[in-house]
Amino acid sequence: MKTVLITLGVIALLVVAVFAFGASSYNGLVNQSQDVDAKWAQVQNVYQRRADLIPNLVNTVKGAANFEKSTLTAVTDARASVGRVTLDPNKAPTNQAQLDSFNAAQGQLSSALSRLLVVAENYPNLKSTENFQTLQAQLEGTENRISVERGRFNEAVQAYNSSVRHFPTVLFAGVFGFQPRAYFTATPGAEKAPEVKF
Amino acid sequence: MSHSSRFLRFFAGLVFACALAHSAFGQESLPPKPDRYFSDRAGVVDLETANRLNHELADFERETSDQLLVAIFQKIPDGFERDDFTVKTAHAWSVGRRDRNNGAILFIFVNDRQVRIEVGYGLEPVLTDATCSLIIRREIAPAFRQGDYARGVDSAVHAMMQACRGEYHGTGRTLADSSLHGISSWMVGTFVGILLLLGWVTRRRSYGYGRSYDTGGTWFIGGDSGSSSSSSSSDSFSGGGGDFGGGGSGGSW
Repeated sequence: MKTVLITLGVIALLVVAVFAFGASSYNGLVNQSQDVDAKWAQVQNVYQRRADLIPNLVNTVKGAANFEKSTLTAVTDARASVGRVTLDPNKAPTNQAQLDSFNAAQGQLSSALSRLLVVAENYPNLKSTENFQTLQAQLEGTENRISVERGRFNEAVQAYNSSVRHFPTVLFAGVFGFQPRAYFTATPGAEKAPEVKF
Repeated sequence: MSHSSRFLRFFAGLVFACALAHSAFGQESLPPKPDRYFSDRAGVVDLETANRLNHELADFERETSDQLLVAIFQKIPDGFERDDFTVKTAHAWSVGRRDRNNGAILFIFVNDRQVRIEVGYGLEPVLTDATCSLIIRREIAPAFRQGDYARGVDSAVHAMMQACRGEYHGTGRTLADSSLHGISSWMVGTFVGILLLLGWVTRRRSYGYGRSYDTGGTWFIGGDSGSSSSSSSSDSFSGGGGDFGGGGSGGSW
């Protein structure tokens, strides 16, 4: 009788312990995944901000006498292809390939834009206008914001992914359906300044 | 004995080495949070201007709750890009209020001839990238080219204030003012509480011993009177948890 009671007690204790542990790791995972989603929304935000700047930029540059057409087309094309790769802004992607194609499209727009800024150096009349200088400052600002928010997003994903994959949270992550999230990998050549040939 | 002491020394060395390694590699070595609004680590602005601007910036926080800082460095620390360094430092110093993110820092790197205005999320609508770029090109660069750092910083600070004014309203106190008040009133409260308890205990005791009613219950009042008002007018800076997302602009001269 006594041994039965003791066994029951031990089992009850174990159940309580497992439940408490599961609850705390579940809550931890929920917090981390919400953090990832919040940072992802921020990333989308800053990319959108850049996309919104482009019509204005294109119009300003177009006004400059015989501005190199190919540079402008590259920007508008890249802007269009960015618009085709849309990801849910409220939930960070779990599919790495999806994020990679998003990243590639955005990377193309980045290089088209920085090329445009480099080419603009050859148009002193354009460069000296207030409008262009303002746009340039805004463009540099968004690029900087993008790199900041991407960096923070990657940090959040790393923290979340390592929780999801490590023992013992991995036991609960599978049960509750927490999947590892995709993160930004550097696009090849993105760190290089664009080459401009005349 | 020599064994254990050698072991202790070894252990202490190990702990020290770990601590050192942690501080060297664990965190990127960002500069410590300043305790003033205006900090000039390169020594290019005269003391009078520095103190005046520090006071004006403290008053600006009292008026608007915005925390604007000026941080002048000799150079950008090794291993950092300018903008990477400034946004990380601004994040670490947590300038601005947590609920408003209304901080901004004017960074100047004298030897690199580089300047950057880092703007917190909450001030981005008023201190836009374009405005910051204008401030750098019009106020800072011309004066700095002539070597007149004081004039450049002075007019840049005033331009920043002008842009920010009206976005938020202050409480008449800086966060440092409030926290000093907070701490001292809390300390005074505890102090009074302990004294009351002591007074109560001694009174009970003195009744028990048949002595006359002594001063135990009253002498704490003197300690309370003038303690909290002394430091409230200092212009020291205390960060409020504001965050930064890379807004602002940079330039060189």
